[in-house]
Amino acid sequence: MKRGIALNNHQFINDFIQEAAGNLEKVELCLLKLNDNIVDSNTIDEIFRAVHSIKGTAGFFDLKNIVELAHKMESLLNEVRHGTCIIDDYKIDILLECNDALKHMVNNSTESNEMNIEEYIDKLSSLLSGENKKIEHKYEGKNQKEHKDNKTSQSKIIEGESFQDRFKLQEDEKNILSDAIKHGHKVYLLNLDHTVDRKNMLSKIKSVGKILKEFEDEILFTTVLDKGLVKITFGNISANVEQCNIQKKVKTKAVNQKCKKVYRQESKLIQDSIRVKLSLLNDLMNLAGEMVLARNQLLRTMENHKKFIPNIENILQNIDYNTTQIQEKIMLTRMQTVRTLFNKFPRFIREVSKSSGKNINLIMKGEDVELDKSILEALEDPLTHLIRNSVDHGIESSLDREKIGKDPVGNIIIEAFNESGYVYIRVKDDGKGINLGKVKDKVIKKEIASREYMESLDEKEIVKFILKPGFTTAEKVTDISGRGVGMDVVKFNIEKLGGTVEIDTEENKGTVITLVLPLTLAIMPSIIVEVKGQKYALPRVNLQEMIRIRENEWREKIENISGYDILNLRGKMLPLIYLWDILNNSSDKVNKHEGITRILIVKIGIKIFGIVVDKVCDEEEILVKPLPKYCLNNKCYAGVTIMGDGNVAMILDVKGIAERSNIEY
Amino acid sequence: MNEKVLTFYVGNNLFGIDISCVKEINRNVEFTYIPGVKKYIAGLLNLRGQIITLFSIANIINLKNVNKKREKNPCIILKNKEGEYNKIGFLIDKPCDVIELKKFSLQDLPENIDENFRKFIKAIVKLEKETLLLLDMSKIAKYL
Repeated sequence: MKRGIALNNHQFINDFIQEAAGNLEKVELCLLKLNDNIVDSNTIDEIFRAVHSIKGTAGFFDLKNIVELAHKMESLLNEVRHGTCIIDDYKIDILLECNDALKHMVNNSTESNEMNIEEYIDKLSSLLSGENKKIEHKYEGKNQKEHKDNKTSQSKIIEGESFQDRFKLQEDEKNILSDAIKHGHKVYLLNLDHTVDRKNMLSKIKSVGKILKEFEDEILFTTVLDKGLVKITFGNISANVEQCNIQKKVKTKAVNQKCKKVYRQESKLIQDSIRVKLSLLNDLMNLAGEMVLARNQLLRTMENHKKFIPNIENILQNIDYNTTQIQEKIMLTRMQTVRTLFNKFPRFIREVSKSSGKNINLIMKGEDVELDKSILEALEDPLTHLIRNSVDHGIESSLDREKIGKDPVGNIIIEAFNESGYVYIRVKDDGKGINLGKVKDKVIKKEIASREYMESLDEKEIVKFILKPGFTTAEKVTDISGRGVGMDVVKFNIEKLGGTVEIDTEENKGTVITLVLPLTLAIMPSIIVEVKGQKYALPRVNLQEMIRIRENEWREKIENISGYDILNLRGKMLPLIYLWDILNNSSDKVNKHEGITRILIVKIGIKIFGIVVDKVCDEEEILVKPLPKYCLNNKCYAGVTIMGDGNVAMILDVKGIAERSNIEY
Repeated sequence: MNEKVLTFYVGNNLFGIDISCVKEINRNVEFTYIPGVKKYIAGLLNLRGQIITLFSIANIINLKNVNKKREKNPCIILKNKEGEYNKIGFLIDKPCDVIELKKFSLQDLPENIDENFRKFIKAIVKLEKETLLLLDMSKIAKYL
């Protein structure tokens, strides 16, 4: 019944999946941290807590498999935590595998109970050696002895921090403890002399409270009585009763299993952020965009009437300023830190470096830099590609590195930072770099450019050739470090986001690839053009230049080859297309060159061509809205926007236009 | 369709749609024509910040004898219906009354009418003076 209710409730399940996904990511990161030989108890505790909370929530939904696997992981971690088992590379691998399995089950939580997890359970069980119990015992005994040894110097009150360390309470004992504390019990530790009758003592305690744990010579118990009364109850041995001042802290521990420090941190985090539906944020963003438009209209309309209304100037200014502020803040709500993106890479590097046998150290900087969510999502593939390139082709093997006097461990640095309204993401490696001579040879061999032309270029221009499509894909060219395989795709993806790719390389020193990205996609700098009285927005990223041709210049600048117009731009022959024809899929080439012809030279990928329009109006930062689904079949449009006058204008997709006009990309 | 229908003219024909589908009727809307999309898409309209796709009913149901384009048209904006249509509206020539159907009897469309037209018509209603054609919104939505 409970299961039925819980599983049917999508909201709850979604919350669980989201929360669990966060926890699983945390587990992965922490495991990888351990991998770097930084075994500190905080990290282990963190993993433990994350796994535990997954187990807890999964239990509520009756997701047995998740609970079982999480429980096994927890057992292993618990041993690590108690020092009875040393974490090593193999164990981390197993834990990572199990974590992946958990991820899979969480994402398909409704079917998780049918999945087979035996393999993982077995692996974990084999790590949990049978002797563990014994070792744990010994460990405890040792611990107690230590306590006994320095009992004289020990303070009367045992602080909460050391409480758990000292008594090693089991789960059920913790529950008893927290329960007792809820009922106003206090915790005492009774030291038994050998002279005291143990049985008698135990029954005495039972008559006034609860026994938590018995040790060889100590009894931990709880009672509502305070110290004075306890002393009276026990009579002669009263001197050996110590009160343990653990109330609050143990409660936190017992109930939440969070150590004090982390508990504080987490509660702070909770106050700092709340979960908001993405659809709500999108609505807010749309509304803010509308408000900007409405403000523009208001200001324009009021322009002529300002003189006649006293004080209106101030009010308008106020509205103007606040609208801008609101819009900016709302834009910020969609921003996420690049951390979410970067967090995938430690695992990735670990795997790739293992399979390639290279020793690689990954350094990440500026994880707090923020970017629009949609950009972050679109960045994942290109960035993974760049890092894979760095690992595969950039970083040399340890042996090779030593030969040329480099540190055998290669470094890959991923960093993000803000600069002048753009976000820079940089992937830097200290590998062998790109051999420009070979790039040059390759370009000439493949007849992408002539030898003379290549000789005239400087290094920066030469290296750009690796971004050309088909530059290295035709043939495996490991001898020029193979870089460039798929680099055109990276470039294309980044440019689609309105960004650019920059490459810096030095032989044997390494390569730096920088992605320059706009903060957000929703606002796009555009050129507004007009055809047949209707306005269109053309993304500025695609625009190279604008030219105008007078009627009398037409003959010398435009050639007509078998019905197609070709523009002669400083010796370069560019295809010329007429926007109206392309959008309409028609071709009525009548009276095309009367008066002045305005041509936008646009670039997409490596293709450059001219688009003829009737009028070039203005440059505007437009608010991009998605194309209604009914218009999706026309690839010439990338979206729609609402102009200052309230009318709708289509945003042109230069790539689609190029395709439509048979200019191959 | 048991309750009230909104009736309107497209060309010389009187059409009706279930009034519960209708969000609002706008007069004299200015919309943007989109070149190069399906013929029945009339254009896009900015309705208080929402982009509404306007359709030409005449083109959807292959209506003949419609006087072509006017500069400004009235249009009906529909409420969004999850899974069927979203932010759409129809250009019409002239809105008319809202009538209660239960006063009249529904009939099937005569067989001799073209299938491309027939499939969008749920039923016809003989009013006092005219014949009302009831549009089947789900079928139209599927066709879009």
